Amino acid sequence: MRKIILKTLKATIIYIIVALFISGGFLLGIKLFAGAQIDDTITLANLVTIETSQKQEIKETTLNLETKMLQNYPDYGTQYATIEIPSIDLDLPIYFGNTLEILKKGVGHDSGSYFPGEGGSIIMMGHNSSNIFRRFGELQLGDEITIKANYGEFKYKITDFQLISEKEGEKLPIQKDKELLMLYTCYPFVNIGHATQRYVVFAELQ
Amino acid sequence: MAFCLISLIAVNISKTTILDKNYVLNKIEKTGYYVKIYSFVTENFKNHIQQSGLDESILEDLISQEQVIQDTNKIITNAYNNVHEEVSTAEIKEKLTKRIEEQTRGMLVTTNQKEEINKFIDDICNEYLVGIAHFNIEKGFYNTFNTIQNVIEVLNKVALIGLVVCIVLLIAICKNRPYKFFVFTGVSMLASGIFFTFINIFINIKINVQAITVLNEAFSFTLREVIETILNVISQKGILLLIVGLLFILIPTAIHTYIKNKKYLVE
Repeated sequence: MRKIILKTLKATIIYIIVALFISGGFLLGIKLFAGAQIDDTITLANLVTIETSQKQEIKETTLNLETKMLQNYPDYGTQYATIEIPSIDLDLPIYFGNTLEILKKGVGHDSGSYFPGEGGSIIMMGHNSSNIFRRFGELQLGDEITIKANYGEFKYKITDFQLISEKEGEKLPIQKDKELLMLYTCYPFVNIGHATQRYVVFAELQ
Repeated sequence: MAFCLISLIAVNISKTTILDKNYVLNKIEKTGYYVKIYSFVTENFKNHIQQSGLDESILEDLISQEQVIQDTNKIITNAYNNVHEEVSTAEIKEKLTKRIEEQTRGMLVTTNQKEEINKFIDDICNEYLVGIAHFNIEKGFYNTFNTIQNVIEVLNKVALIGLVVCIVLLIAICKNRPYKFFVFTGVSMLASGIFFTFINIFINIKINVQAITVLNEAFSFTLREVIETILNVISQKGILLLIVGLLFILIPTAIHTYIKNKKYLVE
């Protein structure tokens, strides 16, 4: 009986090895004939995967007062501050970036400008809708604007208003000589269709 | 024979999952795709409202969930039946035009603004088409899908013919040793089982299926579920082939060895 079992096992193992060789041969054949396409497919599949399983270390944003530069800038698309203008009962979130998605939710911060506290030009924009910047026309010189960021609080006073074209709005000056907040929205405040002008509010750090 | 078995099983898996219209429609319903895509599209409409200067109320109930279901099913039918029925946005256009006219009644609307309004309506319609039908990629998708369907049909026929030929040849070769027929069949099954098991493990290692994000969350969620189901089916078939293959090898070999040993003892 033992002999039968051993012979059976020996034969079975040989057949299993043959099966392994056959499947290995197929896999090698596929690799040889379609290896490049398979690699491309895997690369494409990995390009469309978002790794949410990896724990992302959330680093705190801080302002270095000596260098006047932020450490650990906020991620694009995230809210990092709020803006308050008491004279027009405005209290809105500020997001880093200015995509349509962001502007739907609140105030967008132009990623090409400086952050509050860095001592340069800060450009922010919002729609002229009733829940965002519709009441900009009621602002007066000297009105206070407070930006409460997750790394500090900054108070500004309005110093100027300007009406500029849409194209000029895309080229607001970026400088680092003094901290200048520029908030803009579409003008007229109530319009139908695409507004070709921008109403800009200038405010300086107090 | 192993190649024919692998091909037939692969064809069977494709035909009962991704190439089966009813399976896909069922999966879409189970994963809540219609509800998610409806929310996705209506949210995207709002991307255009604020800069238009029009009141957000004109977008309220602009589309219905029934419309989304109908149009989504139309797209799927287009792909599976190789027809090209257009998704119409005439109703959306009509509704929007009427609502904007009501809202701007009594206002002086310039020619420029009329053009802007028309552009806004076109943007909304386009948003619907892209969201529901992904019209920016649909032509390429239909062509690829039809090609895959044709290739699967050809592979199915070739594999079936090949399998029959292999079986006939095996019977002819093993007519004096019938146990060899089962053993060779078992080896083919085992090889197929190893192949499918390897493929399943390989895909799971190389691709994080649960993190796939394509087009939008609704589509991605459904796609992930479909891929996971297919991988589960591949895994099950692989394991079944491994077990059945091993049994087909083990049992005839054991019987043959026993009989051979008995004959030897008798002699």
